[in-house]
Amino acid sequence: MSLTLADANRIADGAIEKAQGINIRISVAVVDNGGRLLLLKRMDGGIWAANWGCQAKAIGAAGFGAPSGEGDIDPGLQAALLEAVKGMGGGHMVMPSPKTAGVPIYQGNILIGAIGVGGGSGAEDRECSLAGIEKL
Amino acid sequence: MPSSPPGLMTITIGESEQIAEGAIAKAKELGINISIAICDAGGRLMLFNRMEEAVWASAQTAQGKALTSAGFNMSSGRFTPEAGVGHLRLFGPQADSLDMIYIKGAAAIFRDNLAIGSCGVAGGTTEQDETCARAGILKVAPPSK
Repeated sequence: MSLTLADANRIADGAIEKAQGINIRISVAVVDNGGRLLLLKRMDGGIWAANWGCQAKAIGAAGFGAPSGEGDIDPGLQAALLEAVKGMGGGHMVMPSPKTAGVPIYQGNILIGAIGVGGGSGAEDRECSLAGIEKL
Repeated sequence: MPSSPPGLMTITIGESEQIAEGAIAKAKELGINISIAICDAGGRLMLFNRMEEAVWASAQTAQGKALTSAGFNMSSGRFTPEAGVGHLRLFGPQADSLDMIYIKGAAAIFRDNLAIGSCGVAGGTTEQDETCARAGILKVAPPSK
């Protein structure tokens, strides 16, 4: 089970629609369950640095399923754990707070991919990601 | 919808979508699965698509070819000794990064004789890749060298 490119397009367009609604310019990345890029779109006039942030968030979400910071793990331990994992991931992951993270995509209980958005504030980015997934 | 800054001579997301669709249609015709990367003139990614059956390694290759094309405003496959532009490769790593890939499969995109971006494809043979890239570009712009 995995995401199709058509799914990824629907998700990305949903995120972009939300971004237009709140008047920000985003980059959106959709990755498969292996954290490999399936789709990236940068809105006209969007900053290119957002390309990195959105991919990093998507990869982080695909790698962990749920955004970091959820659950009752000791915060100190978790910070150390995340640092270690980030290093092993070649510095390609971003695991910010649940309010700003990328969002994993499930089919039933199975992780099939993830979405990440960059370009707005962390909360706006997350809002766009969630709006995108709703289109699936 | 926020519009582009006035006078911005760059490829738009709408054009990028058309190019990707054209490249994918050509790939289906050829029976191959590809990744497509479309960059602005600065070599920064505008749109990326990977057909779900395409190997993930093609993602990086398509981007590397597009980067080369954007950097030199020509096909990423033109850097051969015969073409007489092989020396330009030397500037690649200095100009931008080691991410550039100097094999066929990408072409620059021009509007009114001004380079506005590039399209790189990977997943098939290098010939097939370039055919797909150019088929995509033809949807929005004239053929380039």
